[in-house]
Amino acid sequence: MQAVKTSFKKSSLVLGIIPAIFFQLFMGVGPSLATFILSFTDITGVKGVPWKWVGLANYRELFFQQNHRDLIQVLKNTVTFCVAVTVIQNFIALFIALALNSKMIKGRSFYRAVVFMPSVLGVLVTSLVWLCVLNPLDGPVAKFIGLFGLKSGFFTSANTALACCIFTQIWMAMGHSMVINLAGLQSIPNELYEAGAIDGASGSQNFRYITLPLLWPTLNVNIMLAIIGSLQSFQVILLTTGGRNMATQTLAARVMFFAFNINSGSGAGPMRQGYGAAWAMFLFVFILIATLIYYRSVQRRDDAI
Amino acid sequence: MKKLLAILVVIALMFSMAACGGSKKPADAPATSAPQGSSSNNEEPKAEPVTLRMITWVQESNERAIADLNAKFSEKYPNVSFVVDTVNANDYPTLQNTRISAGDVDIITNLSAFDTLPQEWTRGADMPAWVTFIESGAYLDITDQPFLKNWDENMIKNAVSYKGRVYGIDVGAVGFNGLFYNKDIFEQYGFEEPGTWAEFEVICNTLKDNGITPITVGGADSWPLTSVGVSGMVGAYETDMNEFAKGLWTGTRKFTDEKTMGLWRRFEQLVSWLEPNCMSISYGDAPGRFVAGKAAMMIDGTWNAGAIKDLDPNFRFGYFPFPGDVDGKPNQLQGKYDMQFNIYAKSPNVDWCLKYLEFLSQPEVYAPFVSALGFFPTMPGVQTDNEFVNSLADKNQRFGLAWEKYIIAPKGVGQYAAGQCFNINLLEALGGTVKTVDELAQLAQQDWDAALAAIQ
Amino acid sequence: MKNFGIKFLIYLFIAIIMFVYLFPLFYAFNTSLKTKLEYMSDTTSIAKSLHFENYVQAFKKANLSAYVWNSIFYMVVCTTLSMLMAVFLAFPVSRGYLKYGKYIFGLFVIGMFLPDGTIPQFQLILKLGLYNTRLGYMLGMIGGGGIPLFVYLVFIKGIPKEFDEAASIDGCGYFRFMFKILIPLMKPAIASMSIITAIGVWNDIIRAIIYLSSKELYPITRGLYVFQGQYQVDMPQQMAALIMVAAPLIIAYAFLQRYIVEGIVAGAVKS
Repeated sequence: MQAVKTSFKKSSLVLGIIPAIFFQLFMGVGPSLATFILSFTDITGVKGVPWKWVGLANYRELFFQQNHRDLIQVLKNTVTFCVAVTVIQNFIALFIALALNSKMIKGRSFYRAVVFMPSVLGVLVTSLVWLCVLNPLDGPVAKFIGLFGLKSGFFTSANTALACCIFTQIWMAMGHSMVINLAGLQSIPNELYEAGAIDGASGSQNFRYITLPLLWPTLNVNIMLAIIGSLQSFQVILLTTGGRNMATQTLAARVMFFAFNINSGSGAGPMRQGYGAAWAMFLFVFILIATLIYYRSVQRRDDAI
Repeated sequence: MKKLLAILVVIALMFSMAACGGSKKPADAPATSAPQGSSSNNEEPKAEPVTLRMITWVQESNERAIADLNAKFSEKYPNVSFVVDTVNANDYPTLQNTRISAGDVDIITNLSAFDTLPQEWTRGADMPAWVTFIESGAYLDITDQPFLKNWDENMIKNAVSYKGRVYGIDVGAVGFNGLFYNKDIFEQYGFEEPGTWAEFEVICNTLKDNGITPITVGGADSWPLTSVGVSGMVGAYETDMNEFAKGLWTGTRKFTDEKTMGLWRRFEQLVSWLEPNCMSISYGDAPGRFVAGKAAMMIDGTWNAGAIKDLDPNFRFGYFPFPGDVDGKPNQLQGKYDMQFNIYAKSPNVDWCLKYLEFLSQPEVYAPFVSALGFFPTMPGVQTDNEFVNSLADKNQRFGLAWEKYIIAPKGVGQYAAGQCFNINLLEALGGTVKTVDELAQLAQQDWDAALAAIQ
Repeated sequence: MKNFGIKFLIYLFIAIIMFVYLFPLFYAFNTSLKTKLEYMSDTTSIAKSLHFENYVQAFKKANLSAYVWNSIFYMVVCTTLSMLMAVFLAFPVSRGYLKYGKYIFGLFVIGMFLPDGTIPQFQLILKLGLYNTRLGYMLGMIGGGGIPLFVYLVFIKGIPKEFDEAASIDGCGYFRFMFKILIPLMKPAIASMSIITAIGVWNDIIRAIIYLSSKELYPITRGLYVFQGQYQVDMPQQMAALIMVAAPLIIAYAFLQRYIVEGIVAGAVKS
């Protein structure tokens, strides 16, 4: 293609661009491609340990040698985590955005600020705070449900651990979705609502025929971000429950568990980064498929509309 | 313009130099225990200041013992100072991995001796991490060092050697097949240390009937129950654990056979005596609960006696192994060789590291060290003056390895049979999903068989 | 009246949400003011007296002062370099001044669709001998791509080309133009994006766990993580440490909230 003419020296332009390209190649695209290559080796995380090509051995171990039931549990957890986070987070984000967009409510910017704050606090603070609040022994929530005669292990009980992780993840990330929704809502021109009012449209009709269709692109973005984000997310899981409990392991968590042994207990063994890379490739394919499935179903919906 | 470019480059260079200078030389960091070295020293030819980097795991009594040892060494060799980095035991393997990878360490302490090496009947099992370290050349070969002769021969042969060469020193053994018990509560009810399972049952049931929680444990960290507790229970039931492990591999023993089901029944009882929600108690918190009287006994290893003592010096406690059918009273301790010292072979301070081990190999230095650690000594002729350790002398006549050191699970085995195989934390009563021990036994056997079948 | 009913429901909904979002922090703060014994006996009581010494002790134990400097250092360096790289990348590409500009941009887009490169990044840093160094830690957090790139691209389109031409007429060199003219013009976008990037760097925990093992290098998050692992017995102190880590973020957030939110919105709209 032809470059637009400019009097700036070409060499300067190129010079300015080189650092960015350099980093992108060496710390971005390069490593991404290398994950594929490393998945065929038995490289460990320890320097000086000789490593070799093992072909498909890692994949064989992942799919065949590993206990099937455990593998299926990991996949189930991954899907559950993804679907639950995406759906619930976006539902709540939508409702809150609608509520905060309505002129009836006072103090909207304060509420908006509060809801978004967890994103700023970061993963570690969020995880530690909820570990403390959801302490099964005599934490505040435990005491509260104790009033109803209920008990729960929260993060330590296989039945509820994943749910707690999902809750913590949503708590942290929902503000993000909500803010984007809010912006999307505010970009809908008021004239449309006024026109609707003239036509005698009711609140729910407003919502169905004006808000929803015009908000759809925004919702779409949020859902895509949530799907990919939740599939790649492992921080909350590893920081709250570590890598030892199969009840909360998702694909992303497994990658970090095998590659870096984060919070994994003393029986973890050496860092197996070749094996971890194989899991990472598996996760990558999984994300591709999930994205495609979502994209297809959205397309069909768009066609229907 | 060129000027701006130059400034940018200079700034970038400055930053990267600051960055690179960030850590390679930890000599700037204050030593945790030793006084900063002066540069005059009459004994050694090379007297320039040296900082030895050590890593170990969080355990207050260990850390204090090491700090004292380092202080003594620095007294003798004032030019040497120490930097000791610690992390929680659960994260320690990662720290080992990464520091050795980076070559950023001089003296490494290991959670145990070189153990759980795959046997000829454990086909396809992964090599333990320490083999990787030896074969990558991370551990210095010290076979020909003269100070080795001070140490117990058995320890040298069984704990710190590989393929005939010696790579470290193990400074003590610990027992972890039992429980601490509250002497006051025991006296109040007229209990004696149990020697058989039946006696143990009586104690626990009586306590429970009287509204006292029999046993607590730091279940949140997983290993206090699934490794220590399980090892104790298995060790009190199976007379020959090596045969048991081998039998599981060759198929002559099953988790579901009659004999093993007897053990599962005992586990079932044990679970009923544990503090509810014990899986939420972290290992660091458990001694506090024990000392506060929230439970009469606590599953733990003998190494933790120091922590209990620190919490309340007036608290009266004892330790006994899980009682069973394996031996008579007093039941014998089983455990492992604990802390091992290895030297990073590519360290620039290898000579000083060797001097350090030589220093430690002297009985007059070792004796107070092992006493502070609360370990059973591995140097012949050394008497520990640790009161607690000495109180266990009658239980240390025939010290053996714990179940944890005998069992190696097949690669990729499912969660029900992983680790030490009796994963009672997966029972509903402890927050898992499995209703009964019978079901758990079946699942464990299924997982075990599946993994064996998958071995090429 | 229907209006009132709906209004009430909405306020109720908001009240619940506010509670869920604010309670944990207040609880953490309350806990941090108790003594250990007070906490062990009752975790939900209001702190009887204000034991602010928990904060002093936690600060010393967790060595927070050293870690704060590290966090600031990492944040400033990574954010500045990333911002510069993104701007210098966005400008030629946005204007079309480079022949292969579209391909270069594609290089950055495709990065979002490739597998995660954390493991090879680690191996690379290891190979370069940069494990457990400041440089090694920061390398993974410097980059010209991502949301800032998109936002700058669009923003630059809104800056009239006359500025470029005026600069060349005056004989102004490229770099002088960028620093004296373009970047000042881009202040709002740069402000938002920098804050978002800075928060990301400040809050990083996973990279800190993977790449750093010497205490001197720890950012504040790593310090908090280690503190939690080491001193598990004292929850009030832990919460004090946590509040100290969270407080600067909350304060900064209170002031900069507008920029942050605008930045997020801009980023999402462009992508």
